[in-house]
Amino acid sequence: MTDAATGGPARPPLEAAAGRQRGSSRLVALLALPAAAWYVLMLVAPLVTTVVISAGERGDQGGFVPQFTFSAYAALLDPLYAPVLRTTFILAVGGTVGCFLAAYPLAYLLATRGGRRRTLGLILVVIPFWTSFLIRTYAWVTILSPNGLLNGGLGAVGLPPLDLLNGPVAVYIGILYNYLPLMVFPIYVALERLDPALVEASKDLGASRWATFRQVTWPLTLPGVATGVLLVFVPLTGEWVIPSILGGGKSYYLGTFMANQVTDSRNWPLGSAAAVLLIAVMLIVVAVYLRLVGREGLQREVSLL
Amino acid sequence: MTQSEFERLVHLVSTRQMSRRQLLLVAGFGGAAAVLAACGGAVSSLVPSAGPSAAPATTGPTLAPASPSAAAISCDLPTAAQGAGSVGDTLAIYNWAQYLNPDNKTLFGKLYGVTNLTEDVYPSNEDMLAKLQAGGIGQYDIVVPTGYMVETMVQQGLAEALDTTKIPNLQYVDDRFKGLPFDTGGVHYAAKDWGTTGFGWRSKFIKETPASWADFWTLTTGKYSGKVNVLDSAPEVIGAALKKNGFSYNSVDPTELQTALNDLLALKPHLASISSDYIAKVESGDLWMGLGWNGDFSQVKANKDSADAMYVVPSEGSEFWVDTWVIPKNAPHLDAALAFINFILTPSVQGKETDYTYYASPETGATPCIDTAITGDPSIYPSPATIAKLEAAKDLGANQPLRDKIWTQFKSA
Amino acid sequence: MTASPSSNALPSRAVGPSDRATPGRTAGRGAVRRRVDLVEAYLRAHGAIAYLFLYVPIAIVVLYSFNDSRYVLVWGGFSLRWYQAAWTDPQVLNPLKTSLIVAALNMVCATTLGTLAALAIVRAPRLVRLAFDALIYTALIVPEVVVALASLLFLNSAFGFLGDVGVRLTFGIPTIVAGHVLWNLSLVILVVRARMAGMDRSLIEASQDLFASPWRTFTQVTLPQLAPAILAGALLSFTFSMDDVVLSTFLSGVGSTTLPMRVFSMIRFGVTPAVNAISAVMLLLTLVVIVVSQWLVRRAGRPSPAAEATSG
Repeated sequence: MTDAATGGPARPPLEAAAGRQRGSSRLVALLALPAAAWYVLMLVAPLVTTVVISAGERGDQGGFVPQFTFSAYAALLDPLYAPVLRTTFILAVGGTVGCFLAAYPLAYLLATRGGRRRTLGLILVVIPFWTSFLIRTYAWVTILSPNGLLNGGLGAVGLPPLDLLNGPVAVYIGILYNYLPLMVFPIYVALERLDPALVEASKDLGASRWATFRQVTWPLTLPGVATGVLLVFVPLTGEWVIPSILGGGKSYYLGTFMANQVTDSRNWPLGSAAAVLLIAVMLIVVAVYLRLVGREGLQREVSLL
Repeated sequence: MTQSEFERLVHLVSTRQMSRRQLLLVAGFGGAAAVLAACGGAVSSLVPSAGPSAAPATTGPTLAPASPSAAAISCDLPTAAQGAGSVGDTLAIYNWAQYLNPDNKTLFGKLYGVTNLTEDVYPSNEDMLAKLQAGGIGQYDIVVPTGYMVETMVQQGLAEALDTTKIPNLQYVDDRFKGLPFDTGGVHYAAKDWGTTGFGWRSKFIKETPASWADFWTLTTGKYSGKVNVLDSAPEVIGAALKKNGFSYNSVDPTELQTALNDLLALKPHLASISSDYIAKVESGDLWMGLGWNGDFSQVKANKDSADAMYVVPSEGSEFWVDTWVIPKNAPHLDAALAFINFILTPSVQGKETDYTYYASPETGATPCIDTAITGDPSIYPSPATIAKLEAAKDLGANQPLRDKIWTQFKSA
Repeated sequence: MTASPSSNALPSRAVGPSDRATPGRTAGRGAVRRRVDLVEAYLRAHGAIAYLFLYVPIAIVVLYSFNDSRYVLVWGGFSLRWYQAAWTDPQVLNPLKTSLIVAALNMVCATTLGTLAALAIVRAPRLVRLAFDALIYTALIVPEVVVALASLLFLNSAFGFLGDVGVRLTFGIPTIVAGHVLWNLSLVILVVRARMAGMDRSLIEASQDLFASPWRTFTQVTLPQLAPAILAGALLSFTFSMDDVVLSTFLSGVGSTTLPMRVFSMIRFGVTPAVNAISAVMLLLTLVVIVVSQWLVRRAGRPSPAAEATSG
């Protein structure tokens, strides 16, 4: 990144240099303490609460009655919920892939062609999100509805109208629209710190542009991509407002299910059990995924140096 | 059903969020009312048995625009606090958005010396309840649950029994809104306003005149497939399917629910959407028909481009809802809360309230204090005969998970 | 906001569109050149479409703020009445104020704590790192409505206990911020760490070799290198906060209704264009801030912090 300034391409890998810092373990503890405390108070404690609730039973008027039972977990095995899991999974995967395809070229453009304006470009990506979520999602309803602006435009140039609202296309547009920054930012950050000297070196060695991208740029930005995928995929498993506004609410998602259990049905144990299971499954997926991606990314980096 | 009884009911269903001018335009439009008046049925708790402080009729039986009120009841706003002693300077209200006239808040603060009056808002009864259950108790002095939620709150021990001696203005509330079945073991609520659940349509697009849930099903699965919305709310939708088959709105009988589910599954592929914010799409003509609340379609009608909207309470029967004032347990400012409820029940204050919310006041005595365009709106209110077929939604208690499964199957089908 | 990332202002970097892709030496290879141009064209088209995609709905939001109709979706002629309504209605203004306070506090706390934690985690023992990883990802995975309910239950009993020992705490802006920070903490740590992985250590060493104090090394070398990531984290945090409904609803107290809570509770009776008006004004203010700061930056033409550090 800053080699242009220092003029020195030779850099010791991070691992080797880390030894210098070993003495400062007290500093490390001090720096990490506030965040750790926050996690314990606002995450671990509520999670324990969630597990406790999931072992309880629904009271007649809702809420929960403390118990030690797995009935909520057993209830989740009902084949009734299989379609819910399937639609949720498809939505999350589809949305993540869509966001990635839209975000990578944009982040690449910003990071490599942005010049002085790259920060501005980045901020412009996020500004739409300072309007209300509902309002900007409604804007898409205005565009996509049968009598909406899109069909008005199509009609004006003599094309047949499209019936997109209340269908999967509208849902994916809404997801793309609302989750894009979560994918763009990590990829941008990874690309931005990518050392141009590496790209140059690859070119000097006669590698084609595609080979350079595949062997240098892509592996080095993988951690950023992985972060982006996590930031998008994980919340998508709980997403339900976008499908309800743009998809017509005709599909049932895990997020809707859990929210319904907490509020409408007041079945806290069932909602909590679903959440605990989701958390467990997601943690395993994330651990496996990071292990694979992390390994590969690291090896490439080391081998290049 | 005598004419005066009919008239007294006329003003009770009102609408919200439309200008007076628009309302007057709408007032001349009475097709739906005619349909409603054609319905007949048995007696229910909502039909008044005796006229409590009945106000003189303000409109004739025709569907002409409302004539000016000639009542002699004073509608001057109170100029002093009622009852002796200070009620403290703080009051915390937890309410739906746009559901309390700010002028009334200001006046109450001024008269009673409540300088620190806060109003927070919630999006649904269920959110409010979850919040109270999980620890919101002890923070708020007044909440505004719908009837069935009052039942839940009472049974959960979340509602304070009201000291009615401190709310003398309860005398103005019609008897039919007192002691409703959702409240037990004392008085825990004071009625705020009320309305019905049914369905509505744009007569510009739908030339038929549906009058029953059966008609709703026929049109949705037939000619108007893909143009119909139902609320994204289990009680209303399952309740409609139950009513269509002649069952109770609150049925938890597995066989009856299965019949309802079969009907719902037949309906599902033909629905454009399952959404609770569909009103604007009915206005724009993207949706032609919808299962919803009376207020929804008064909003649609209030728009001059969609004034052709109709609303009906289906002939098989349906639901009525009542929103209420409730004091949650451990309210930190009990005296102020009681004083507020008493204040808001003053007929003149009720008038201002209905003028603001466009929802029907439970006080017949407040009629002269309400804009005649509201009390005279004949387009959507049910006839007493139709009211007789309305059922109140109940909390389903331990049977809720059963309904929940039906809803899951409907939504994920 | 526009604190430029470390290397932006370096003369060698601030060159035209093809600074990295096509140095002179590829010019001879016509076929490659053509393909590169295609890639170039695609990238530009992609960028243009992406920004169009992002801003067309926003343009509609602004347009409909001048809508005379009561409804967000139906055009009823031009009017400024919603601006007047929004700006005179305390029921809209107070939540806006609350939201801005919450978002700002959340941004500062999450960015600071997250950056510090990210710095620490890299140097921490393996086991601690693993524990942190688990926490970070769990925080992102937990469904919002569940963590919101559980937080409320837990905090309520905690407050009850503290109340018994004489410390009186209640729900309000601090509890909302606490909930928001949790989510954004993970976000900031991840983004900052993504940048730190393989960050250039030679500068830090150079700084240390020059006997700069650790503090000086940090502020003048490490921080500027991390700046883009920190900025990204801060922006995302602020955005999250301005838009969150579920956590805010559960963790709010008396008098701490945020704007998104207000907007969501309007659904039952219809969202009015007053919310569009607020959005439009916020967009305008943001754009003014950006334009002015860009102008200042360009006028100042100051040297990059990294260059300063290495030359000093």
